[in-house]
Parts: sequence; C-alpha cells; structure tokens
Amino acid sequence: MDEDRESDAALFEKYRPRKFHLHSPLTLGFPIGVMILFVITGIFGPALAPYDATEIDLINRLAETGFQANGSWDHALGTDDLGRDVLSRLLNGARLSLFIVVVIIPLSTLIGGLVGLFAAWIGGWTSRLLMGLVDLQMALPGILLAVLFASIFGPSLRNVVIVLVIFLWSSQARIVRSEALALSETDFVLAARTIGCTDARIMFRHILPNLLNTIVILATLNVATVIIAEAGLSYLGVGVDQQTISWGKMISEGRDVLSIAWWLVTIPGIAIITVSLAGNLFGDWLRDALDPRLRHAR
Amino acid sequence: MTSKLWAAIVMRFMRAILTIFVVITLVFFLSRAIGDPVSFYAPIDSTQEEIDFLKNKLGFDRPLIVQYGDFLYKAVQLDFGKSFTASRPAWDVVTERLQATVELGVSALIIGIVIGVPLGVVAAVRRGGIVDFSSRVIALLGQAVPNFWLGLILIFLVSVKLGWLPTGGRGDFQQLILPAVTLGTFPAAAIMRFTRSSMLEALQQDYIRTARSKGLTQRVVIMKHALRNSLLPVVTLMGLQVAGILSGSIIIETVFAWPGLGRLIIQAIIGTDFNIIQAAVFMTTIWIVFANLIVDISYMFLDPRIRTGGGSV
Repeated sequence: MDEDRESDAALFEKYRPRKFHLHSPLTLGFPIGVMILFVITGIFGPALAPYDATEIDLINRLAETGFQANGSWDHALGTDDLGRDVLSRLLNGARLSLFIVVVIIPLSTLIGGLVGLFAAWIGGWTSRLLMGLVDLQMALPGILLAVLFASIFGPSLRNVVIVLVIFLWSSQARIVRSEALALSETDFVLAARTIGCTDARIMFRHILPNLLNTIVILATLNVATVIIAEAGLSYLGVGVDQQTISWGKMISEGRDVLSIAWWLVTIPGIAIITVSLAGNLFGDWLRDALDPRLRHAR
Repeated sequence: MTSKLWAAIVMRFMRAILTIFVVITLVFFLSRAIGDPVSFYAPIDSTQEEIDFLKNKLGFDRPLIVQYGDFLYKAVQLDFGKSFTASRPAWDVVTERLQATVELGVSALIIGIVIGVPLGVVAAVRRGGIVDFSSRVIALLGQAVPNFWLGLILIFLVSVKLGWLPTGGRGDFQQLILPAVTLGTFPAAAIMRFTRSSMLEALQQDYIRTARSKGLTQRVVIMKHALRNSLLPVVTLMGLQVAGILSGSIIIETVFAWPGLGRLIIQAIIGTDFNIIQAAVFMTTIWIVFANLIVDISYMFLDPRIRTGGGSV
C-alpha cells in the first residue's frame, strides 16, 4: 500500500516538464531538411529528371526499381504501366505539390485569419452570420464539393485550388475567432482598454501579434492536410486534369497493377508521407516552442 | 437549466436547420449545372418534339424556381423521386447504403476509441516512457499517411500477399476488418493525442493532489478521478470525428468497394443521377449537422462563455 503513495519529491520529479525526445535537434533537423529538399525538388526537379515524365515506352513497362532483383538503375524507381519513368514522374509531382502548398496555404490562412479576426471584432449578428457560413462549410464534406465541382467544370488544377481553399479557410476562421475572443478577455487587453485604446488599436497592436503564433502553427499543420487532400482528390479522378502529374494520380494509376507492381503505389505514398510528416513535426515543434501555456501541459 | 441556455440551444438548433436547408439548395442548383435531367428519360434517338414533350410531362420546363419549390416540398416528405439508375425511390436506395456506411463508420470509431483511449491514458500516466514515445510516433505517422494509400497497402500485404483477408466488398465480418482499420487509424491517432493531453491536464489539477493526500492508491486516483474528468472533452472530440469519418468513408468505400453512401454519391455524381445526389447529400448533411449540433450543445453546458454566442472584442 505504501508503494502507491508517492512522496512529493517523486511526484515533482515525475511531472516536471521533460525534454521531449521528439524535439531534440535531430528531430527538428529532419523536418527542416525534408522541407528544404521538397522546395528544391519542386523548383528544379522536373529539369533534373532523367526522362521525360510523359514519354510512353511500352517495351519497358512495369520495370522494377533499381533496388529490386529484376530492376536496373536505368530506371531507378521503375516504370509504370505505360513505361513512364517513376522517378521523373515523382519529381514532377513534387512541383505540383509544392505549388499546392505555396498557393493554397497562404490564401486560406489569409482569408480565414481575416474573417476570424473581423468576426471577433465586429461581434453581433454579423459574427453569427460568418460563423454560420463556417458551419455550412463543415456540413458539406470537402470531397463532395470537389467531386461536384469536377463534374461541372471538369477536373483541373484551378478547381483543386478553389476547393481546397474553401475547405481550409473555415477551420482557420473559427479558431482565429475564438482565440481572438479569448485574448480579448485577458488582463493586458483590459489594461489597454483602461488607458483608452480604441478597439482597432487593441485588435492590431495587442491581439494580432499573439494570434500570429496560432495562425502560423495552424498554417504549418495544414501542409499535410492540403497535400493529402489533393492526393485524395486526384486519386478519385476529381483533382488535377489528365495532363498534370500528381502523386495522388500516380497512386490511382498504380492501383490496377498493385499485385504485380506494388512499388508504383508505394513510392508516391512514401513521398506524400515524408512531406506531410515533416510539416506536422515542424508544426508541433513550433507549437511547443511558441506557446508558453502548452509547454507544461505536454 | 436557465432560460438563457435554452435560448442558446434553440438558436443553435435553428442554425442547424438553416444549414441543412442551404446545403440542399446548393446541391440542387449545382447538380442541375452538371447536365440536363431530361437526357436521362429520353432515349438517344428522340426527336426534339419527343424531348420537349417529356420535358413538359416531367415538369423540367417549368421555371427553375418552381422546380426548386416542388423539390423542397417533396424533400420534407422524404420524397426524392426515383433514381435513374436503380429505378427505385432514391430515398430507399440511400437508406440502404446508409446502413453500410454506418456499419463502417461505427466500426472505425470503435477501433479509434479502443486503440486511442488506453494508449492516451498510459502515455499520460507514464509520461516520457516507451509507450508514450512510441504511440506519439505512431500518432504522428497516422496523421501524415493518406488513408486511401494505407488501404491499398493493407490490401496488398494482407489480402494479396498473405491471403488472410478479402480485398473488398461487404458480406462477412472479414470484409469489414480492413476498411474499418484503415478508416479508424486517423481517429485513433487524434483520439490518442487528445486523450493524452486531456489526461495530462487533469493529472495536474489540485483535486488529484487532494485525492493522493487522502491516501488513495495510484490506480484509484487515475481511474476514478483523472480519467472521468479528462474523458468529457474526448467525448466531444468524438462528435467532431463523425464528420471526418463520413468524408473519409467516401474515399475508403471506393478503395474497398464497400457499398456505402460515400461510394453511392461518387457514382451518382459521375452518372449524374440527380435524385440520388440530392437524397444522399441530404442524408449526409443531416448526420454531420446533427453530430456538430450535439457537440456544440455539450460545449454550451461546459463553457459558460459560449452560451451567449457571438461575443465581440
């Protein structure tokens, strides 16, 4: 019975904030390294690709990767059902994914942040209206909207961007608004009000800087969401158009020959996982580093 | 319950109804933009006269607003017309497929809870330990892996290579395992992380110290006090997962050829079967809105700040 009652010292030791294994320099290095690699690949990849990614070569279809017994290093990552080089397609897909991230995340963050901030500032029924819009958003699964869009306008990159921005801004707006409201009830805002600061000044000079942390963290964590979402849409055939190369499309193309050419599905998947993981790790690290409140709760 | 709380609940409920209304309106008009409904009823070699006649008979030549009003009137009676492809009432087709999706969704949620909650609790109690570390790694991975890819890989490994489980379809329990596990990984990761942080917060509260100083054993302290208080937010998290599971099931059902609502919607959109699209979206929306409603109402009970709604700086 006595063993169950730990002393104060033991409890203190048990619950003091620990250095997290997941946040040592090594695990910060990995996400940053991957993200740099991702950006470089996205920009220069297609130029560095060994083959033309759309070149069909039926003689060499379904070639194995260089790592496998029957493969050769001519096609380091093998070829797909039409003989197209997987490595080259992977590099081109990186460009698309980079584009998706670089365009959609800032756009949706900006829209979501502004709407959330505005809703928090103006209050009243306008705020309710805006949040009602957000609810609407969340009631329709993004995929549904995407499929509908694609049926009307045909799959295209533009539609993917529109759909994903719509998909993302609402959750941003909601969180920004509730954070802004929470912040507005803190002591320092009260103090600012007491000395006569106007609402606008409070909003921009006091609340916004604190909000930026949350916004940036959310944006980083959305990288994985956006890449996976685009992959999913392209897998279903309602993402990018026929011409564009996407990791998600590569997976759907590989599905039919899964049992005989499993690497066609595995390799693009690993690419997606790596970039998403890097984004999430970095976002987590940011969250722990920037938010003093959470430092002790984890 | 105060009258203020009642008012807030009723407001929230009204908003839910409004949301459903707006969504089906959107879908009605959007799906009309996909194609001309008459083309489904008219055989290919119809003359313009025959087409016009059909149009008139079926009411497609009426102003769109009138068609919309008619649609709404029938919709509240759950009459969505007949499916073009199945020639049965659309609503019946939807309810059948709903069962399949619910089966899948509930199984996935159960898997998420059964894996997520215990792992989260152990990770919090033995913080910094091996369970904590490894489950956080797995949770991180779980949120970085596209679930349709995971499904395909599982199919390859478990069905094709090992031959343990079938690749798809619905029938025996065995066919449920792979899709449910695939769909359940994301909720499992989210629930695990949330349980862990919720539990950690609960464990640092004063009442835990009080319980310990009363001389209660470690186990009693955890199970009876910390757990109960940390579970409430987790329950609300599960409500939020419902929407995610429903949209996740759309793609998982496609991967595993599971005859559910999600797959039905995709097929209906591709086949431009309006009545099914409308009926199915109506059904999906009701579920999601309902789940969000429950979550929001329980928040109202928990957090007094939100009860008044629409605060300002």
